[in-house]
Amino acid sequence: MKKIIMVFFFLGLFVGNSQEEFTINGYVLDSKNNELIIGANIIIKELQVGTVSNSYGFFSITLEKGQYNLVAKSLGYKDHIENIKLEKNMSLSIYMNQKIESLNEVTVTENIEDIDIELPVLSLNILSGKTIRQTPVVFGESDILKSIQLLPGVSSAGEGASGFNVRGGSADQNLILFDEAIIYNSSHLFGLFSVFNSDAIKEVKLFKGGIPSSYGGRLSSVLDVYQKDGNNQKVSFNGGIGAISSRFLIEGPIQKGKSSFLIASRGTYAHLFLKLTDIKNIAYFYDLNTKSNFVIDKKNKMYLSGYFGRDLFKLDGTFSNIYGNSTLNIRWNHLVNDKTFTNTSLIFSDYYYGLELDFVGFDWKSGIKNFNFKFDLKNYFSNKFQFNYGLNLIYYDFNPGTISPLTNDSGINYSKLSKKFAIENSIYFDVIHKLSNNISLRYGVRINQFLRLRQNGLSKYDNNNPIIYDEVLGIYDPAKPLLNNYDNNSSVFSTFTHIEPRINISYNFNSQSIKASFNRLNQYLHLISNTSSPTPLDVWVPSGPYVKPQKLNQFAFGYYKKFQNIKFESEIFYKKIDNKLDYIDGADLVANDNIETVILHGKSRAFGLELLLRKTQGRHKFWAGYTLSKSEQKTAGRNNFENGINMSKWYNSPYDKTHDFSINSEYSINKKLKLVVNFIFQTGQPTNYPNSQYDYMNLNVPNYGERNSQRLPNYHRLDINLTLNPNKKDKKIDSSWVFGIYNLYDRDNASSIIFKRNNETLLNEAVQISIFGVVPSVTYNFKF
Amino acid sequence: MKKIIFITILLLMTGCEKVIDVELTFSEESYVIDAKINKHVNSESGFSKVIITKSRPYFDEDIIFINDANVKIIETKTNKEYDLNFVENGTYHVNLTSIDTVSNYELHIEHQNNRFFSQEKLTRSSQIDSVIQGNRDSFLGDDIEIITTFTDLSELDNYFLFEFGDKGNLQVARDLYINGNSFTFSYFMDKNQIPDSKKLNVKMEGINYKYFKYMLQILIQTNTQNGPFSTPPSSIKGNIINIDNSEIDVFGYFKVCEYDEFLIEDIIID
Repeated sequence: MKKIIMVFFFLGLFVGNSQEEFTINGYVLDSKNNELIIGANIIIKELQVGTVSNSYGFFSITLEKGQYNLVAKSLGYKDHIENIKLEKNMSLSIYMNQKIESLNEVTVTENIEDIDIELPVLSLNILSGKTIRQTPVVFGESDILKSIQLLPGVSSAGEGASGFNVRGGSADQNLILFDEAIIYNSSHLFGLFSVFNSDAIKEVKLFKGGIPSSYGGRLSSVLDVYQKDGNNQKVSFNGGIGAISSRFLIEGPIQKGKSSFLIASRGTYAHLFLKLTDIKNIAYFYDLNTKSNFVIDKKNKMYLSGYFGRDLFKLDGTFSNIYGNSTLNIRWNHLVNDKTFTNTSLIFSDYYYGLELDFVGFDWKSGIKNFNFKFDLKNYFSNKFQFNYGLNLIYYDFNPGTISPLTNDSGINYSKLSKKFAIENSIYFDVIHKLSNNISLRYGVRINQFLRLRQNGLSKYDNNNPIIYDEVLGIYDPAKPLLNNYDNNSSVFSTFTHIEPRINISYNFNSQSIKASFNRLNQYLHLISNTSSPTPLDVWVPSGPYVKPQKLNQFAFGYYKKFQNIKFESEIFYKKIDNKLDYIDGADLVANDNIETVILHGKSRAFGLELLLRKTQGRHKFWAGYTLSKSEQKTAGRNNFENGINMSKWYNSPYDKTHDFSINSEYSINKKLKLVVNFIFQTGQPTNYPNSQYDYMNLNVPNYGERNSQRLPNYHRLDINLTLNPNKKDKKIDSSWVFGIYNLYDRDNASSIIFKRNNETLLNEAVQISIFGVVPSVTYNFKF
Repeated sequence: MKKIIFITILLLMTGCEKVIDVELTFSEESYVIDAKINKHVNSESGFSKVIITKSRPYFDEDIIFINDANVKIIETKTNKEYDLNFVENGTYHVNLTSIDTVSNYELHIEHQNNRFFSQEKLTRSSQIDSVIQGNRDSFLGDDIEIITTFTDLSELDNYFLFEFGDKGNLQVARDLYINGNSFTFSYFMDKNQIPDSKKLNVKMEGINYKYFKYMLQILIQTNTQNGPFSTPPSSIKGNIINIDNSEIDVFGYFKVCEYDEFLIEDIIID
């Protein structure tokens, strides 16, 4: 490996130093509030070469001596043109002006985000905060997770289900980063809301494949969410008042032009959905986002960002439940020289879950914490060659659960499941390499080392086998742990080392391009959940002596074309996952200290076709996505005598949706009125229907056959949002009303079908549960 | 606990329920055997009761009883055989004058061309200390709170099955977090399932881990909401095998348990 890295270095240096050249670098900023602009295109008109500003708004481009027109383009901004005389290295701050509606013209701001089709990037979708804020959703609350589910390849287990599924992967296979901090539970209120306050969001990137080597640790996707930096020019407020929640954001300078702060908070009203008279019971959530940044000098910037969110449920005298994430990130951006940009981050994140059950006298707490050190270096050798490398060290502390008596007379004994510890070290390099005018490459390697550290009380089993197969009855049973524990002398129980190649290639011709990618990823943390959608109670476990890392290989091919205002993107993908966790029938997952006694390692695979059509300009804009896919899994017996799970046959994963079509369309009626319409159609989710019944101990027991062999009815709905911007003469307050109707034609979409015996008629029946019928909403947003 | 979460979410959501028509395919008829030997904690003697039925399509009403089977129990230490007598509706019964606490008991059933077999040993139980009515609200409101207190056996790894009345109100418990203690828990029971006599018999059986796991699956599968937080349902396998024809499934369980009972009277229903 070392050799390869050296070769790249030489290649890079060679390319970089072949002619007499100078470097222009700097930041791209919003002229109004100095917010850094991510992903702006910087193009040198004369040479038709360019670069893109990075996640910190920084760019660097190296050119021969000369006079050039530099054009900066970014979504929602006017093109910025600057004449440059390049005879020495220079730094440049590019201030871009937001496109503003002129009096006689309907707004034509671009707000659907493009991936420059020339870049060697596949399977990436970018959404700006603005797009997310105007996508209609239930209760009129804009939401990142709901917006990304309109994109091809992304779905969820249904309304009121937490998390999301990318290309047939489970929800725990998504790496969710919030200002670089890992988020372990992305949902509030079991999936009704995401943990992200869209007011505080600058941009969201979703990698469904072709994941660059700077990311790792999860198989299916990376959702990289960036918070706004805060306005360092003037203090401003914005917020919204809705039917079930309110938001408020304040941002402004600490020292004008040099430092800024941003504080955003959001909360639902207590007693949400509960009877208003029922004061003793509560159900609500709140969260708080903060960010500040400091420009120290031309070469140094510091950022501080944090998040704190909690969900609370309480039924008086019965139970109470609190859970949520908190994160903290300190970042330092440093320019080593004109061509070299570094970022160093120290990140902490924490997920807490607490439950008190009064009626059994039981108090439960669990969670996961991590400390993360990250260093990234970006070296802009030349226009043709950018070299990024970095390292990432993460220390994990898992608390699978502490149980204590709630009162003195409770019969519960204090008990603590063994805490687990792990370290994940990674180094990577990532090269963006333009071979010719037509061919671009992005390639890299990530090397991971995962260490499962010593812990107290890791069980040992006969023959090292935590699951026993009962051949007579054909079932798996947990093995009894031996009295002496796992080797307690070494400080590391298991070490996993993996090399992950990643490669993307793109070939461009006549406003179209063909791209291909391959990536390999490993996942060392697993969410122990045997349901179609995760619950807040589910615990994360690290790989170790009994739990193997999950491995993924993914191939994707794409074809992209631009015709005038319309962009067409198509991709096919194939992914294969080894060591996918599966659970034995009757697995007891809650508070199980020996989780290895109920899990088996299986396989999963998914393949599909994704089409996306976008029109990003003009009075009428839209995007339409279609996905045709298949996702299944299989857990075979460990030898010929075992039946495995589902008789060792492939079965549909719970998130397999054959057809998934969505359209998001935006039409500006006039300067004051804008209409946004969503339509969604999805094949019904896989489920099980009983194939017989019997009676046992006066219970009527439905009996089920193969897993996920039936489906719920198809899912479809239509939503509309009408935004009204009253044209105020005094422009101090910019306000708008958003009127929304979710599920306009009141489709009873089945979230599940329950088979049960009716207590009155004593007859069995199938009952369809639908969560949302037609839901109207009104939100008032303001900004001043 | 997942169930609690699910009930909460149902509460939270403006959910709507409707009965729909679903076409189901019937797999095949299987035997269902509900077999047990019971010994009261304070007694030497006990009885064996076996109910044999067949599985049927999900929407069929009438239970298919097997009334012409040969059922016997063998105590393996002394090879003593007990034939069970047919009573009614697939039920077979015999009284046992003494139940050996360490010996194995075999279940043998013959019906047409099938022979069924299972083997178990007695699982000890402790005693119910008290059962009273509570006044807490349940999640769904229309329930009666039954508060049961029992004292766990001193050694670890005891499992219990509680049966409230005879309408299939069941609850399993394990002593992982309550070992050796006196423990109180609440069971919320549908008002309409309290007998007219306002009396309710609460039965506690000592069970082994395998049966605990089996009952847990049965309870999850009979109460399951089949929504995003439900576990994948399956065909639940017990401990009885079909010796002659492994193609024909057999459901149900053979258990040998000690038990205790407590009768709560004058239940108040408001």
